[in-house]
Amino acid sequence: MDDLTLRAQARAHLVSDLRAATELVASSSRVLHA
Amino acid sequence: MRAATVADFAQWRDAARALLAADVPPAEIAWIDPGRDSGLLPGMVQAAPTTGGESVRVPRAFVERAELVALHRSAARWPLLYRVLWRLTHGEPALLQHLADADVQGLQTLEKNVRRDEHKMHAFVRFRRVLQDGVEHFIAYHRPEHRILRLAAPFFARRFASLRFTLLTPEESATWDGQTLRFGPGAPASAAPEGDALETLWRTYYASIFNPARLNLRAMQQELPRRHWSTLPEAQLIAPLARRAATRVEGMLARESSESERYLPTLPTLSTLRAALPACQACGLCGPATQAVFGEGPEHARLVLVGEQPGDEEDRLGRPFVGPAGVVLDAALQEAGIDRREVYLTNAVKHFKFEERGRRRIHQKPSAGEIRACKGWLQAELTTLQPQVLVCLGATAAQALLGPRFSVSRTVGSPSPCPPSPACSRPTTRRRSCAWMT
Repeated sequence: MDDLTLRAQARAHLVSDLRAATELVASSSRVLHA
Repeated sequence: MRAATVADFAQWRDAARALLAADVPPAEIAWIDPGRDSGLLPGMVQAAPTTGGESVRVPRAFVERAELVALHRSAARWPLLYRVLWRLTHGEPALLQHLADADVQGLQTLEKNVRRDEHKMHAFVRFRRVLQDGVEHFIAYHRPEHRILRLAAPFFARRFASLRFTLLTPEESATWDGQTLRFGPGAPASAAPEGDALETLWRTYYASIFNPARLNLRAMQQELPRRHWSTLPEAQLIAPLARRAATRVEGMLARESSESERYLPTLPTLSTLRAALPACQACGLCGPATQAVFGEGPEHARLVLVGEQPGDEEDRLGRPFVGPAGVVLDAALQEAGIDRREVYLTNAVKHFKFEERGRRRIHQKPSAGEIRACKGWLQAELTTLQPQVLVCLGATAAQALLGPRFSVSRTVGSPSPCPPSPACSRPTTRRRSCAWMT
């Protein structure tokens, strides 16, 4: 894989993890509010 | 059906020669081991003669392997050896080269078991010093799995050539008087002395070199089988050392941040930590760097992102994630629908580590020691923030929190232990980042 592909893949992973982190924050908020 | 009673390699060789000379195929022979079998069964006749058969030509490699395999305790060894011998002399002279053949594989397995047992004996024999008529003598008891004393004993004679020793096993013993190695009858474990003055020293040494962070009980039991524990003075230390290992590792990890701890404020808050950071000299990075870069974001942030270290621009501006890496992060945050102002951003190492090349300052990865030196600051930030979710951006950040042995690539797709503070669970990992839910 070339450097550009690797960078794109890394960024996609980062976005995916950030989304997952947001969901975790949201889900634990729901638990707390419940 | 013929019966052949053999106890060792020499007897098997003689019997096999006679049986081959009489052209008796393997299926018509019952091999009887006097040490384990009761004798002839109805319908069997003793093979006769058991000696005096003609010599047969077989590869030297077979004879060498047969001598080793004969030391195995398996009752299958004599029929296996004869079967291979029969095939070697009945149209398959290159049989040993056929590694996929079941008989050849059987030979290999038994040979390997014997060699492994020999190695265990070399490794796990513990001599005790006694005085016999004023003369120093060393005695050891060992319970090998196979009949390997004669195979293994010459090693000790070479290694301890100037000492006098006796090596006891249940079936046979070996004595070295400094000149000759002699073999005699076996002895029970009670015949060997139980300990000597050197053992206390040995146990102290063993306990001192025991590394709780590297404890792997499964591997340990594979390498140090329980059958040998009774004769190893250090074995009695294994259980208590293993029980305390986890606590000791936690203590070791807790002490890791000691270099920066003395620079931390007595009452840590984000503002007192920020004010105290510029004075930190816990590692050598504070010299070349322009300034220390503290974390940035609201104190109530529920999401904390931890990077590796400030880059060139962050070092000049004194703010995290404002250089090229910050541009990438901002874009990713936007794509994920996260407001940067609601997130706390910080780094595992607070100073920029670089190498000067002309006018450029090239990023360098911080060492394990530098990460450890800076860990106190990160821990203090996280303790103050108590985030709900912590995202480690890359291996350095994860190693700072989870220990230097953490590997992103090894942990992809599987849960891993969480940092002691803040308490975390269930990581989701990817190639370049990983997140933990509190």
